[in-house]
Amino acid sequence: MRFAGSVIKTKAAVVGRRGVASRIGVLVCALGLGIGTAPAYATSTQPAVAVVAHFQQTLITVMKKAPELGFKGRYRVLSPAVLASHNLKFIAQITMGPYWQHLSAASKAAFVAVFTQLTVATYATQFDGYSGEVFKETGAHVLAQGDVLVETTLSADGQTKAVLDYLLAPSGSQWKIINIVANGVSDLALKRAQYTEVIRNKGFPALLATLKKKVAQLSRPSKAS
Amino acid sequence: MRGQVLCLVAALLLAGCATTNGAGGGVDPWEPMNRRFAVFNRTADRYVMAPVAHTYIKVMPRPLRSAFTHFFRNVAYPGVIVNDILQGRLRQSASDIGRFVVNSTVGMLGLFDIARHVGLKAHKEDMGMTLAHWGVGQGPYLVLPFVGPDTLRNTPSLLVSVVTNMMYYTGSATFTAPLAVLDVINTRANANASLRYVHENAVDAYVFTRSAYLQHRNFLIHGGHLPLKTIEEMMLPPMTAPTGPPAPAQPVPPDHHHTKAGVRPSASRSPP
Repeated sequence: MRFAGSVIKTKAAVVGRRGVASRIGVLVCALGLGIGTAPAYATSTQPAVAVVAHFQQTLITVMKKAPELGFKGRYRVLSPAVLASHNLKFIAQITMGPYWQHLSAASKAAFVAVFTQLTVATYATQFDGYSGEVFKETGAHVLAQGDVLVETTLSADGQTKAVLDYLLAPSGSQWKIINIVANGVSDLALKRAQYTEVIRNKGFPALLATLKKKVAQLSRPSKAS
Repeated sequence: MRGQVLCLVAALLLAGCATTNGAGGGVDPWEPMNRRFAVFNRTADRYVMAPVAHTYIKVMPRPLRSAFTHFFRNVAYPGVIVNDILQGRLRQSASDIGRFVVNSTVGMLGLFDIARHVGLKAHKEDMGMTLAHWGVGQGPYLVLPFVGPDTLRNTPSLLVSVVTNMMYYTGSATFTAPLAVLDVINTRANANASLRYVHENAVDAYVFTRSAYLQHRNFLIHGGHLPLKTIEEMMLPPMTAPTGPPAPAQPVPPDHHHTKAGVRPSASRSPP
């Protein structure tokens, strides 16, 4: 109850600030002054919330059919869902930290490709069964950069098993996930720490080879449960 | 057992506490030593704990393992209550006292988590979180033999968790020792899924564990609800870049493990 109350208060404060900021922004633009204000595109969290809700519904559907789908079936179903809801190219870029700018276009493309495969394969491996899990949205906020944070929980047997926070940013005309924070652990930070460590010690080719090996391991027949 | 581990750890730390600048930088100044302990722990787990845990999972039915988990969490729960009080969380301490009493009585010494069903949910508090509440800095990241990831600030938890555990007040080593062993095995069995996740998904298991552990501790210290500013800062990459091509060995960008406020590559900022 205390958590829900704090979320409601936070949402009210954010909406209030954005409402005032939007009116000032319109006035400033009308005057042609171009002074920076809160990003005008983040006027509602609903589109971002809808992206998360749809993706989580896909996860539940896959979990319920996990045994009959097997790993390959789960991968096939989840691949378009992940591509539609996640900005994987952007995420891949961030995970490379300062090394991204030193890569050739071909290396960048190769990395994004294997990163995409690894992301989908990880989902297909982890969501391999159903025990009554339920996702529930618990709040949504607009952040300082104009991104949206959608807070959810994953529960089973009436107990919260995980707190899952999704960060979304606009990509073209859509909102896409750019980070997932599970029980306080940022997936982006986790990957960035590891990938930059490997590059520093062994080089980019070694990182690429390791990720390809991970994809192969996850895709092994023993994983087709 | 945890007290003996603490003494061993103290000796090892004093023997090898020369600060070396591993890639861990500010949060992990003792990285070379920590990595050695991590290798030791992985080896010990692979050849001893993992086989024991797997056998335990095979022979012990899940409801019984669940009951043991509730029991061991309950006998250790006075530690949560003590830390509630030390942090001034009096309302939470009252709830946790109620939880302990309900589970110890109606819940048959904690074998059943009855308190959850009457709205007395479990909290996680330890001495490390209390020290954080009091403003004590995290200190270096540590990997302790047998214990695993930790921080210097959290090491008093090892002793406090023994002192506040009801299991060690039965007055009979004959009774306590097997229970302590069962606690360790049950805990390892419960960690099976997490350890398998690390094995399957980590590109660098040491860095993965360090990053995940420190982030999760920060999450617990904030009561399971990270401030929005913390989440915003997660998205900002380091400002500096290395001075050469990435392979094979690169100078470490400053503040590699700490994000700084700065410009983030555009994810496409056009309006939806």
